[in-house]
Amino acid sequence: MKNYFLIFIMFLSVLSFSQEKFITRNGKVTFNASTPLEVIAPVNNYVSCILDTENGNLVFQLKMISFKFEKALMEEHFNEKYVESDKFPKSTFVGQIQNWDDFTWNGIEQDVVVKGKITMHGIEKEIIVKGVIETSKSTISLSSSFDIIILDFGIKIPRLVRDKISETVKVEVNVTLIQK
Amino acid sequence: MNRIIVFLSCICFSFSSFSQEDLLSFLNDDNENVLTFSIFKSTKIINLQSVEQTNKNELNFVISHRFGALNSGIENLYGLDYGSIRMSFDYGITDDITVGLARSSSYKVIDASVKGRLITQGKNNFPFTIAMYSAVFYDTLSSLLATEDMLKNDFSFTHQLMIARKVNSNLSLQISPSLTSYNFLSPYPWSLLVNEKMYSLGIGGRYKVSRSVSLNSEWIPIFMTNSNVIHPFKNKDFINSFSVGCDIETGGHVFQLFLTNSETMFERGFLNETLGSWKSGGVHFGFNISRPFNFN
Repeated sequence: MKNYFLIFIMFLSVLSFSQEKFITRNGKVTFNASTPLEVIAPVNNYVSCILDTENGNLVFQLKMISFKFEKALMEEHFNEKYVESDKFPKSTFVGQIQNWDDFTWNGIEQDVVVKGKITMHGIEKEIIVKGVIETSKSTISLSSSFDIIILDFGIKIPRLVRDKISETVKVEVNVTLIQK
Repeated sequence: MNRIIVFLSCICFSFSSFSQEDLLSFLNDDNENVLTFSIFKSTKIINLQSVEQTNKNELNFVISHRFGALNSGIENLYGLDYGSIRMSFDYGITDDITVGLARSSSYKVIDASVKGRLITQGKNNFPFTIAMYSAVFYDTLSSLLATEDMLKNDFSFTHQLMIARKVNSNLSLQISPSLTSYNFLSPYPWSLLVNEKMYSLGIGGRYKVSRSVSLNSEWIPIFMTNSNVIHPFKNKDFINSFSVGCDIETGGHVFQLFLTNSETMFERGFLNETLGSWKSGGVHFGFNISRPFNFN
């Protein structure tokens, strides 16, 4: 009888893993590479994100081609000349929320530190960023803002347009996850 | 028995805690439908229209020059003393429909055009981008020269189908079967040869040598006039247009620099009325500069 009970618990554990995952496919990532000469601030509203509340593992994925720019020509150059979207269509972040044990489902904002690897333009880079996590009845919202240096990802700005594009890019992330 | 249970529960709990890579694969969706972009840098390969469109709410201003023939001698600085000009304005009504208005100084022709993209490479895994181009040409000069002055005689039309494929990120190829119909046969030198219906097949491509520079070339054999089939190499009546050059993209502008044996810059002209011969140096240096203006 005791054994049956244990087996039942085991099945429960297998069934329950899906309850621990929170997901979205409509997260928002913007970046800002503006200079006094040119406003470069595209938006990507189709960012996928998944959080495993079991351990704080956090993964983002986005298609570079989904960044929408104000000027179509800018968007074309972004995909064609800078991030080379046909060779490297996706960017990912794979990491973990560091102080995950402190996380509570209490509806107030909590500061978190996220550590992981960004992969973009075929180059992987370790990154540690600060973020804010907020819970509601059924959702978890994550937001963060951090700077990246695009040369770190092998993206060079031609000398001719060096005054127009910032080499340090401010990235903002906003996602609201719902239970899978 | 207990050992087995411990072992099984280990397996079960290892399942319950997903690794980061598992999470990543969880996000991949299978119906990836990535449309191919930037098949060519510009809306023109050299003379030929490319499948590229002017973007929505953008006005693309293209200014083109063809200098005189290289064989016109040192006294004309190998053609640089003389130049013909074309100014064209293309406006993107949607991302897939462009209307254009242009004026060429050679033969004093004004043309109006519409260009539409029918399907984009990558949509439902379709291997090609296909577009259509139609233009009407109004000869402002011919009514002065023609013996019978009827307005309809001043018009001619070109219809073109463009089928292009971006083979890889550097190489793109295009074929453009074209039909030109003339309402008139005006008293220019070539009018002895052209017929009411002219069929040609444009073949063009580009190869990117760096992220801002590509090499372009195109060849446009005439293969039929009315119902007579024309051999692309062994014919004495027509010279086929051949051009070779490069695109240089500098942020806002695209500069196209090239050599071509067609001096005219409007479709009807370079498709059917090419006069220069590469063998005898009847080749023109030319350029197109395009600059889009955004009205969003």
